[in-house]
Amino acid sequence: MEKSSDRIVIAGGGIIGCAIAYYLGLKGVKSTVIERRDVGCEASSAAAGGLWPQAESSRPGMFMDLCLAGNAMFEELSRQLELDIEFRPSGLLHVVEDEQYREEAEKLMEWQLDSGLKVDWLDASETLKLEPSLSEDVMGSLYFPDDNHLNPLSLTRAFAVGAKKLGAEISTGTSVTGIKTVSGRVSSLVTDRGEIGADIIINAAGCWAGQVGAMVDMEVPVEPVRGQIILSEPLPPLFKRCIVTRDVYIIQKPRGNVVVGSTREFVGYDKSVTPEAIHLLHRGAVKAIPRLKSVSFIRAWAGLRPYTPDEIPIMGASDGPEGFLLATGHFRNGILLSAITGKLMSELITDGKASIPLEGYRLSRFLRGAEVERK
Amino acid sequence: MKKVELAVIGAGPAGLCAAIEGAKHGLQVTLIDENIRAGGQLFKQIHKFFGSGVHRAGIRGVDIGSQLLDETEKAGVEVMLDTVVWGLFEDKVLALVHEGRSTQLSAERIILAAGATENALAFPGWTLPGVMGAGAAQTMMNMHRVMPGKKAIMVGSGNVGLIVGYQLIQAGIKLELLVEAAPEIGGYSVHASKLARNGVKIFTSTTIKEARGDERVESAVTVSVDENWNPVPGTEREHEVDMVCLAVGLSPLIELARLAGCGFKYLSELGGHVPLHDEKMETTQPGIYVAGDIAGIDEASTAMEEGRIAALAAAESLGRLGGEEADALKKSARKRMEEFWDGSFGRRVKASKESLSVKE
Repeated sequence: MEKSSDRIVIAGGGIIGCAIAYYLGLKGVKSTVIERRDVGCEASSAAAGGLWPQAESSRPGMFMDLCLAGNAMFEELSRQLELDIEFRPSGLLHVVEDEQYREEAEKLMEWQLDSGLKVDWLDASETLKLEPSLSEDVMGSLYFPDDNHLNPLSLTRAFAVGAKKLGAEISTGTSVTGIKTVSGRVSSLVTDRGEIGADIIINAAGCWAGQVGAMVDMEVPVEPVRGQIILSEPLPPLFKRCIVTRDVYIIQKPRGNVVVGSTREFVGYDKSVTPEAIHLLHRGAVKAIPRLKSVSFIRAWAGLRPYTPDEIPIMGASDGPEGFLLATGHFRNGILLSAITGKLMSELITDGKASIPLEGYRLSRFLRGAEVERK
Repeated sequence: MKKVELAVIGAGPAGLCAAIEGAKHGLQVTLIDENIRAGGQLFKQIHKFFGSGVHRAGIRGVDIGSQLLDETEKAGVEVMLDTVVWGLFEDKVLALVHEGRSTQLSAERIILAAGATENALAFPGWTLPGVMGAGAAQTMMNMHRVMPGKKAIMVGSGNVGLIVGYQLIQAGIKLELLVEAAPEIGGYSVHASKLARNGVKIFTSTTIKEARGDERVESAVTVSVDENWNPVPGTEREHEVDMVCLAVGLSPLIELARLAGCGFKYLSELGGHVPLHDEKMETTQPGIYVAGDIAGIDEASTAMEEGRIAALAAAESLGRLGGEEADALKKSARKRMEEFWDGSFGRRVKASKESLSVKE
């Protein structure tokens, strides 16, 4: 697909855009990233950094496999990237607090074991032995040893720095204003700071992918979902594994700060935090880990996640102008899927084919009449 | 959720005057402060204030504080102490925490009078016990009656440095010397003369280089600086002191104004980022006002007038005060401020404050 002379322009300098530029760079292909504000300044930097393909999945299949393949890349990536991405092979405890939830957890465990994945049921005493700071009201927990976490800000920056070293250009403070085509092919990307000739344009604009799509009369059904998060002061080590309850998830970061997330709100592009959500998250965290009652929470913020109707990203070629590709709509899995998306998109561009088929991620699944499969 | 007409945040001179003025004009007022006692810095000010009679000049800050607390009580202001405002959300909803419990308060108008915080200065040894801000020294001496040291060096010659320097002497501390990095003394000459009369050496174009000592400050090293503020090698001098007092300026406490989405301007003369505001002290966010040091570092006397103006504007906007009456009252408060500024220092402050004005 790609000719050596092809000019590749990526619209969006979030973690997805930067990862694509990085993996293209590894293949010796240069690209230009156009970013409206600054690298990773939206959903990428609002994320908590959980890498949870197992705890967050509800059934086996194509998407689960993609998440697992993405997760498997981080250990090596943490050695390969120049910056410390604070990757922590921590494991995750999915805490069960009542009988009904326990049934759901058992089902989850059953199919994951059938798929050959590592997951264990721990009773109350085993759970508390592993994480003594958890509330004694816990009934038990599902233990996922392969669900980990990292620092999403560092990872985004590491991709950006790595991409630049490999020849990519990242143009921040530059807004995409239009896309020009010549006889059915993209020819250039227009920005508020000039026009850039392009043979391939990748729409990696996250929550703004709809606006970029509209520039080629393409409907991209991505909409923002607000997620609010709170952060504590740095604390001595309280717990090691990521903790997930029915209400919240809780991670203690390497510097000691505890992150508690998150909400899921359809409120447009409003990034404000609300007292209700802050209370909700705080209550959920204290319920799981009573010690958190007496510590100070020092920050609250909100990010907008690019949601799609089936909660699965949109990746690969489009039915729009030739040379117009998509890599967006990663919703709550943008950090987890960043590396695999970068890798697969770079393969698609340079070899014409990705090592994991991207057909199931095509935008055309949302076309009128197409049957949308829910996650 | 509890509702009030006017919430005033910060019970220093600006906040107290705002609360009193608002209540006087019939507003239901809640005054909130994170300290266990109201008065802000007033109770540390054992010196007589400046200006003329209308500015309560000649009265000591601590007595002004007592007067204002009295008036606050008489005016029927609800005072919430030991209460931190940790959030300011949409529709003027304040998030408070008191004794570990978080509550919300909805206000029709808000006056931010959070004051300022002391700037620190970093140099080798700055974390040794005995190095402290001038405000901390004042708290120890004037409120808790504890001597913070025996022999001191003061860094900074603004009014805070000069006045607190004199208070150190009053407390029985030997003030060895006062250093000022600028080529001239920053504060009023009347305060500087007082120090000179008491035998305090004042070195301009000089700064602190290091504090030395094992467990606590045992000496301080000063150094001359050239016109580009660079230390001049070979001019170091070691002084035997057990206390280094820092009076290197204040910065407005603007966090709540930031949360409210107010517009800002950076003005170093006023201490840094300052919320834009108009003649009525209203910020770029309708119904949210600023008064006192948060609106640009200045004296307590002008802070009190700003508090009054903000409360008058709030009362007027809620229909408690006719436009004419409000205008007359605001004008006289403004006039008292202008009179206070009628000196070379005040003129500088006034010019900076005027550059903040947002057009209505």
